[in-house]
Amino acid sequence: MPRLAVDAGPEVEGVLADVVAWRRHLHAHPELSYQEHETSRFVREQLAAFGGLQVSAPTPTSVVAELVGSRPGPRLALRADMDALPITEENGFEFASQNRGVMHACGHDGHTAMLLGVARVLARLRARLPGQVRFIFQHAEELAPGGAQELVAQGVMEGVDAVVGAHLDSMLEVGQIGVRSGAVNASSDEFWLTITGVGGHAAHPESTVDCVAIGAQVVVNLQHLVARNVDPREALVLSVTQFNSGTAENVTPGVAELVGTVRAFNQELRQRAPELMERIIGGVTSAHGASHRLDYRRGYAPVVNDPGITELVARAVRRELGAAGVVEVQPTMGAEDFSAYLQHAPGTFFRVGGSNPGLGISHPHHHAEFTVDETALGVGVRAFVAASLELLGERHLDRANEG
Amino acid sequence: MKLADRALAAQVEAVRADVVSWRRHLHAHPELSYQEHETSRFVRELLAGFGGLDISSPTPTSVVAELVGGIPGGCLALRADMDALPITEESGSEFASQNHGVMHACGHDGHTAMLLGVARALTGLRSQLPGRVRLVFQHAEELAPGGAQELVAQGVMDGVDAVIGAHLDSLLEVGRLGLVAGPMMASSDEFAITVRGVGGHAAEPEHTVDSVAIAAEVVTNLQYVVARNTDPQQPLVVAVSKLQAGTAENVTPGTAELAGTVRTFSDGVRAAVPGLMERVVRGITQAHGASYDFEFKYGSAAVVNDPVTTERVRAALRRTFGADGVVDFQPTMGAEDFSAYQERAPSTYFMVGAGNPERGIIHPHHHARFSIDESALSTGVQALLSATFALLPQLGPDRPA
Repeated sequence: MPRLAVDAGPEVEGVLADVVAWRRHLHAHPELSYQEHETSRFVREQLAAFGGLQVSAPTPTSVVAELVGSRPGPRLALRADMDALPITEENGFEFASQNRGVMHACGHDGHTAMLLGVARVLARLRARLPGQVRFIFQHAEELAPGGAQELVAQGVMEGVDAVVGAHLDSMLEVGQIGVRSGAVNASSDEFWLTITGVGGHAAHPESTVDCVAIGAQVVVNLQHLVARNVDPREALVLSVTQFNSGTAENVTPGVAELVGTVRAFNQELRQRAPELMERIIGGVTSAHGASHRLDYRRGYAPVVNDPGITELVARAVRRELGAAGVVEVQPTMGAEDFSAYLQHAPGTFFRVGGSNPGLGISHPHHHAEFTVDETALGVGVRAFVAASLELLGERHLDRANEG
Repeated sequence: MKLADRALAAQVEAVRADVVSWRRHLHAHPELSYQEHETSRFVRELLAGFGGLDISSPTPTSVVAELVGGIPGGCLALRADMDALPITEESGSEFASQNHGVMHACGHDGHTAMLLGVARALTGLRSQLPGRVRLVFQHAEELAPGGAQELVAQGVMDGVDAVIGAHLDSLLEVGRLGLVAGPMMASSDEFAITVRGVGGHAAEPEHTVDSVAIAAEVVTNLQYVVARNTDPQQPLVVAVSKLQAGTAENVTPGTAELAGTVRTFSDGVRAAVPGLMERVVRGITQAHGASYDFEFKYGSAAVVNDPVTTERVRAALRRTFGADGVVDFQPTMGAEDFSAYQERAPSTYFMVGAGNPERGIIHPHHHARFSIDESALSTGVQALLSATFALLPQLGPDRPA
């Protein structure tokens, strides 16, 4: 039995049509990371209309709304991201992107619409709720360094006892909520490597230090890091995604620029990666008389779900949707800056199934024909509301009270 | 021969100042390969002014002039190239390029001026000339497929018994001439390889076929063609000079583009290399589940000097310049489309020293501050004239081969 005897059903039913309409409006008007001006204005206006929420804007394009319940209790943060991608939409919807070259191809339009729906439902139940709920409408999830760390720096996690976020998933069947304890998204770090040799005429290799050949050796030898240098039970990806060198057939270039990404679930392994890379790159370049500069930039930390919060959320959602509505999902090497919130409070990040192969809805995220079965939005709202009521009813989460 | 040398020296002296001023005019007005419109007009007009030359234009920007000597004999072709390079000049000289971004940074201005000087000198010596001389002012030496093969196709080597060319060399001391029998400059062929993998999210290597990693393996394994697959006594360069792939940090690209050059002196190695390279590319891409496109474009053949012709020219130059003035030239892996003419007649190609470290003339060819010591120009004119009078009596159907 839920600890809070609050029936949110009628309020949830009442908001679903609006959630779909909001999502379609947002889908038609996508904005890139850090440029979510109209999106955040739209969100602010909706939140103001719900009543009972303290609305603020910690950064120019983010929105935070605070709901204070009728009695003390845990303080909960719920997060949605709002930014779109630089992709030209190829869907023929009447609500397809009106901003050419920009597309909600990752479902953030749905995340924002769902959290708006949850905010309205909980705002209307306020008199019966303990604790507080902070709704975080985050900017710039898609672009490093990401909006999450910026909002954390602005204090949005101060006093928060638990944080919950969700992501639509076009690879998970609609109607299902995917949960998992522990790591669910990998860390995402980027590197820029410059290899400097000596350029010259391609007919005179003895007068050059060939950065193309040496860069190739570096790429080849970096594979040892994953294959031979680390615990085989720990997942690690090292991808060199750009190799740019040279301008002419008969000129050996002096510089090769390599770019790539490193992904891991294990923070310790993540910390060691640049040192291991440096050893390989330093050895290979010095073996051939070249020099190098490795610029390793930390990106998002891995998303690691708290087992206790995850179990509470899974239990509540199972109760709401039935046992078949909750499945355990596999971790992905894709990254999410939700991890920035998890550094400050325990929480969980769950997935909302959006695929429907019968309707042809099966394209992966970031695809020009990505979409979700919109019935997923209602499932997501129900899951969020159930999770919120569950966590708000858990008095032991209230760290301020314990103190 | 002493008398002839004195007569030649007088002719060289008579054209010395003009050759320098022609070279400076050409230097100030460089034109890129296949665009030598003003250059070829300038050459044609000067040649017409010399008199006695049969002038034609086998292609829009090349010029050929023929001089029939007073004594019957064979036919010798002399060649100069006229094109400039896409380089912005930084020499600071008063006759620096007026065509921004284009520069005579390889000395072709000097080659053209020298051959103009030779043409005028020969018209003055016509009655003593034992045979015919064909002066070939070639376009587009710097850009594949090169003007030489085009002129050969137009018939400029028809009836030619021997051919000579010369190149200024800023790394050889001025006053010296460099010769070598046999291989002198390498063949120059180009290749382009596309490695076709499967693009995708860089966080999901299991769903991609990583064109960057496989291209790196291709570059690495291509070194085996030089190191392990070919005769170690045959010089060979396989240089991958371009590798372009990818657009974002988190996207594994589906294709990687490689390009480069192959240089060798050996016809056998040159013929074997494309097959050896493709075997490596095919094997490596197959090993990792990728596919590939392999394109090999043959460019200019190796410059290989005929030993007999070279020794005759060497002997003549030693007489004119003394034993110290003629040095052995070390073969270079650089290329020259002069080889196209060599396929049609015995020949030699030699270097004319133009460097002068005391005057700061030390920059290599194709450098933005490349320059020459202009006294090299009369050395070159005299060398070409000496070679001409040494070779012509040996040519023709009735002459000893």
